[in-house]
Amino acid sequence: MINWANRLSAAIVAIAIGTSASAQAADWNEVVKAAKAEGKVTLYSGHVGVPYHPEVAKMFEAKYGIPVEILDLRASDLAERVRTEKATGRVSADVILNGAGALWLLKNQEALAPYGELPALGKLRGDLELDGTRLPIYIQGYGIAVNTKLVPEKDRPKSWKDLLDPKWQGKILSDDMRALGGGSTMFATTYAKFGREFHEKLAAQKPQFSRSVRENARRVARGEFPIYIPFSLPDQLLNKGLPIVGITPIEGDVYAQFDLALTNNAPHPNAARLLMDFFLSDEAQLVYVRSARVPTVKGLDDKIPADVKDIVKAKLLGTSNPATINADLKLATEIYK
Amino acid sequence: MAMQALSIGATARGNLRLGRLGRLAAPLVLVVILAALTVYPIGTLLYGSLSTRPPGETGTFDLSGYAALFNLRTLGILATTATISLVKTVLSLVLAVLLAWAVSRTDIPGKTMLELLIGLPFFIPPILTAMGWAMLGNPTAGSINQVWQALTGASWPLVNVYSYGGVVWHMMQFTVPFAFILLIEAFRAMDPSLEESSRTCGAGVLRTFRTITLALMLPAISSVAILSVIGGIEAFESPLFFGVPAGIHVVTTEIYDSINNRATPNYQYAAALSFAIVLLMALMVAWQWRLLRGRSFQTVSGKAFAPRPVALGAWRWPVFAFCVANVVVFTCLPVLQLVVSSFSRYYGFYSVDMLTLSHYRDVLHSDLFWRSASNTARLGFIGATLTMILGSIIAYVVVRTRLPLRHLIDLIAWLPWMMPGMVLGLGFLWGFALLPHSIGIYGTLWALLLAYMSLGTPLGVRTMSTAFMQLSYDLEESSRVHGASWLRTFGKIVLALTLPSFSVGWVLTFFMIFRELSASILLYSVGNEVLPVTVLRLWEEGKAEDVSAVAVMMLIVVLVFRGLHLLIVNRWVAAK
Repeated sequence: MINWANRLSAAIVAIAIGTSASAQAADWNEVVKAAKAEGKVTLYSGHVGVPYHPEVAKMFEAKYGIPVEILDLRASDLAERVRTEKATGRVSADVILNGAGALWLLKNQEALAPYGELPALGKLRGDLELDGTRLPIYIQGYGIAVNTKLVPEKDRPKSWKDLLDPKWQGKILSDDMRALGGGSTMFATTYAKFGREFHEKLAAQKPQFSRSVRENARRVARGEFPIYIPFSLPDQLLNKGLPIVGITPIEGDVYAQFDLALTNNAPHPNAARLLMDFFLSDEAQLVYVRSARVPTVKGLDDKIPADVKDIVKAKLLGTSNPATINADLKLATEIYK
Repeated sequence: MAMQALSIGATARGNLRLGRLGRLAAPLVLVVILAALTVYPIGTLLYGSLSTRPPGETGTFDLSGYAALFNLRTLGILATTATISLVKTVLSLVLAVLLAWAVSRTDIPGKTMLELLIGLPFFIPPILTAMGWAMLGNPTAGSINQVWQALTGASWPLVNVYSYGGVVWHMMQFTVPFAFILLIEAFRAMDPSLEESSRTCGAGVLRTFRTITLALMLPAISSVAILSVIGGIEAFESPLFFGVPAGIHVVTTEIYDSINNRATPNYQYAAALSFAIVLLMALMVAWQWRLLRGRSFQTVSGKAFAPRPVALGAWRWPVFAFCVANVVVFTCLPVLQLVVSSFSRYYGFYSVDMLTLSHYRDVLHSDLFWRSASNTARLGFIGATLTMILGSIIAYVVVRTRLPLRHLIDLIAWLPWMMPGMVLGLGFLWGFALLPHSIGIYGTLWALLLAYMSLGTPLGVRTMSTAFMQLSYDLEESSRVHGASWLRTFGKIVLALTLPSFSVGWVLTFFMIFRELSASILLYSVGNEVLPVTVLRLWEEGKAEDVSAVAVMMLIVVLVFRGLHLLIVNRWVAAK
């Protein structure tokens, strides 16, 4: 419970440092103080079912004493909720964690605010594109999941194009390519690399769409389907001991960059920026490295555990282009009726 | 104000005269309350079906949403929806009537336990039973098929829940107990003297059942049938779990798809499709009114009777076995599956080294779980109580008075049944978004409470209407003739005789809230989560075993709650 003195202090700080993010960053200590006065921060995450950002949130709470409320929603559901909150002027989310493309759409809808200066910005790798609104947090590779009992090693697909083999007709489970998420990222990337014909043939394989991405891997493990695409390769760690294996195709993994963003009119803007900055700390980034994701800050290469190195260092095919995301979704809807 | 409404209602038959203004004021108040709960969100939804922009944004208006309905695909979806709903209603009612009759009117053993167990699946949120059946009837990994293949060596599955049959089957999972619970009360309220007369005149058990029992039960059966058909059209979890994977689409999954699984949500199409359903529902209600018009349903009279069970003779044990089989299939199998899964590291992989308590530990240490449980309990108790009070007042005014506007009140109270919960939730979302910021309902528990009251009112009204319809006017008139005031008459006669129905309605409403998902998913916000939403979130996060643990805990609550309720009702009946 925030007492009135704290509220007053927060108000004074907010007035003193202004409402724009850059002004708030003038003195980071003031931001920390204001964040504590705000008392909490709400994170909406489009990366559902993974234990990592709750773990980072606990670390943040332990360090600053500010609790983080997390709402996990699928990427497109999250985008719609943020849109509704914005349209009705009742914003609950402070920070959004989602794929770069989904956040690009929200940015265009003016649902996001610039994050301004953050102390940890200098740690970011130089090869990342920054736009002042989306803050890259980690990169995740997607490949093909196979049930090891149903598919002997010699028969397993080794290339994305192996999925077009008639023997897989009706046997492929897929994240829905017509909505935001891993499925749409895979669609956009492989469409750009392999052309429309690849997807027309893949559609003829009659893949079964399902958006319960974590459950889908289990369905493959249980033998309901021999193949699942696109499989978040780090999820192998969540399915240890089950008859499922992730394959990096010879062309490389499709990848998605996950970013953080500050919402426009966030109820707790200082706590939000403090949390965003914390996600770039070594301790937070190592949580993602240990989970087989690629960090976005420099200097952690020698800290990648041996058992996940293959996944973290896998060859990458590409990712979706945020600028064409709506057109790609439309194409997917057209091909996969 | 509510009591005033009742008082005025009663005087219509009690020969007390109030001014014209008074006779109009009370129903007007009801109309205003109902309008806020039903007409307002439906009005905002109508607005949405014409608006080219999503909720919260101002757009232009056109009919493109309705134009999109007229194609073979959408018409096919409408036909599939209606067919599935009708088939599951017929099958469920046949089962439910037989079960309710056997448990309430025959001499089979273990009736109290059977009543508890047969009704039990209704109280389990459909998403949980859907999970149970997905684990049981999956063609490749389902427990039933694994056992079947191990026993017979067959390579083909015995059952496949991903089919039309699977959708119907899972709908029956909660329709049979739902109909059973409503019908058993009606059976109990029925005067058995007519059946006894039939038997005395030489008719057999079956003929009496067919010509007397069923005829007397027609109002209750037709009401339940209508509710079941509507429920089937509104059902979401069954087609989502078992229809969509098989390429079977119904109205609710189409609405869900067009809002959630499109690059840009198509609210206009979803709202227009919903209004097509409203039209279908309106036709059904009109048909029900036509069916019941002019009939007298007074089967509870002042005449004393002691319900004597029908002696089944040689059929006693086969009928008992039929009831037990029902319990095993509908209750034990999915519950057992959920229990096993809750103790397994990964469901579908069963071995001793996979046993764990970690899912219970995870759930019990989750702030989200406790917050959701607390919110659900508060909303359940308050929502069910307010809904049943409102439903009773409406039913009384409609059934037992000649007050003006009573037909309008009946119609408005029915409106939420004509809207799938998801769409009504959308209407409320839109409605709350349009309210001035000073009315802070959006994103609070109030939003959920109002939605639940709206969704529950038709059930409350229907439950109490049936009770009031079967109550002879003689009883009230006798009381009044003997000098009792209206209030005393109402308390000692009307309320006392309909208390079992009230309590049944309360329990049904409580558990409607307990399991409501489709409206909640649109109206909850961070901090205001309810259990079904949390369950869905856990499911979507791939934590099916945690959901099983939650299911087991919810099931224990259901068992305790339902057991206590039956105990109280039975004692109350015995005391009378």
